[in-house]
Amino acid sequence: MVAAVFVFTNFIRPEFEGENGVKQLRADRDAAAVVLSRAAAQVEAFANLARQYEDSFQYKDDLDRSLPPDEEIPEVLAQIHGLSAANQVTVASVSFQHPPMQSNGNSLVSAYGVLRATVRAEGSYENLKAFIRDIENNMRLMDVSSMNVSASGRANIYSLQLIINTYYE
Amino acid sequence: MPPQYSTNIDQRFNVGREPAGWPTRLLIFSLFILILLGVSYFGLAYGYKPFLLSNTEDIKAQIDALDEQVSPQDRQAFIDFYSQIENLKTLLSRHVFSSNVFPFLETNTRQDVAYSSMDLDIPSLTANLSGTAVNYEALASQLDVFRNLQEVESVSIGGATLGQTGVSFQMQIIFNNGFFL
Repeated sequence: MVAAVFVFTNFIRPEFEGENGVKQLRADRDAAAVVLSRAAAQVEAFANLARQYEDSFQYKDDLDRSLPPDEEIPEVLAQIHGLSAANQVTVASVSFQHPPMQSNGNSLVSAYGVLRATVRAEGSYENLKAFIRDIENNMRLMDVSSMNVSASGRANIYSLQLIINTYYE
Repeated sequence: MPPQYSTNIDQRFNVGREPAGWPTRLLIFSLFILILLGVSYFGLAYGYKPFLLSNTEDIKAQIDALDEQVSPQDRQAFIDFYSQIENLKTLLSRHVFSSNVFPFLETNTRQDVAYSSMDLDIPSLTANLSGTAVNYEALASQLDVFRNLQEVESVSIGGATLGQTGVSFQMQIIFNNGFFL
């Protein structure tokens, strides 16, 4: 009986509860199994998403034009100038502000930045209207946040102040 | 007279044998336990533990294999792409068309009312208009026109002054949600 107690205390119990004992090994195996199931779920989710968005990859360049990876202020300036010239609108000034980044709330989705442009321009009513419409339909996404139109004092010439939000990721 | 035998079969076969005492039984029991523990020890040390170890290694190998299915570069590229699409979806759902205000005013303004300035604030859906009406009746009628339109949440007059060119006024129109979408 003493030998049995000796064997239990000195051999079996350490095998169970000691460092690298059965208990520890079982915990390691269970933890690895949890990691495996999560990794498998992630790979599966990734494969599903990849299938879902497979067709969209060909539009990556268009997406980059709509929501570029950087502010790209020179491009914004060039686009505003191009649209104003196309609609015979004179742009007097453009200034930029940088509001804080906006989060989507989804951990996989990175925050996007807002570049705010204040544009002062002049032109006829019809031309200003067309200019604003073109800004709203521009390839790079632009939202007019506020607009002030007032008579300039000259015949059929109006002053326009636009605050435009454009975005980047 | 025939010999008399006991009816207890155990007594007939165990004649002269003493039953085992408790120390012997304890010894046998202890030996049994000892052997059982010995077998358990060898089973644990050379059977179950290597099995658990190889099981864990096997799972780790499967995790590594899964990791290799998608390279970190591909994963990051896809996450960036997904993020871009989701952000664009959000932004497009909120994309506004402020120019909707022009056809609205062109269609719904009386001939005898003219505007000299407009201040439009998209987040608050508010347009502040300054202008001139031929007379108070024309201005009141214009207010009624706006009030009865489904695109308009509310309309109010900030002030009206009779002058040489007619009635100068400041008007505020608050549009319904969705008007600029």
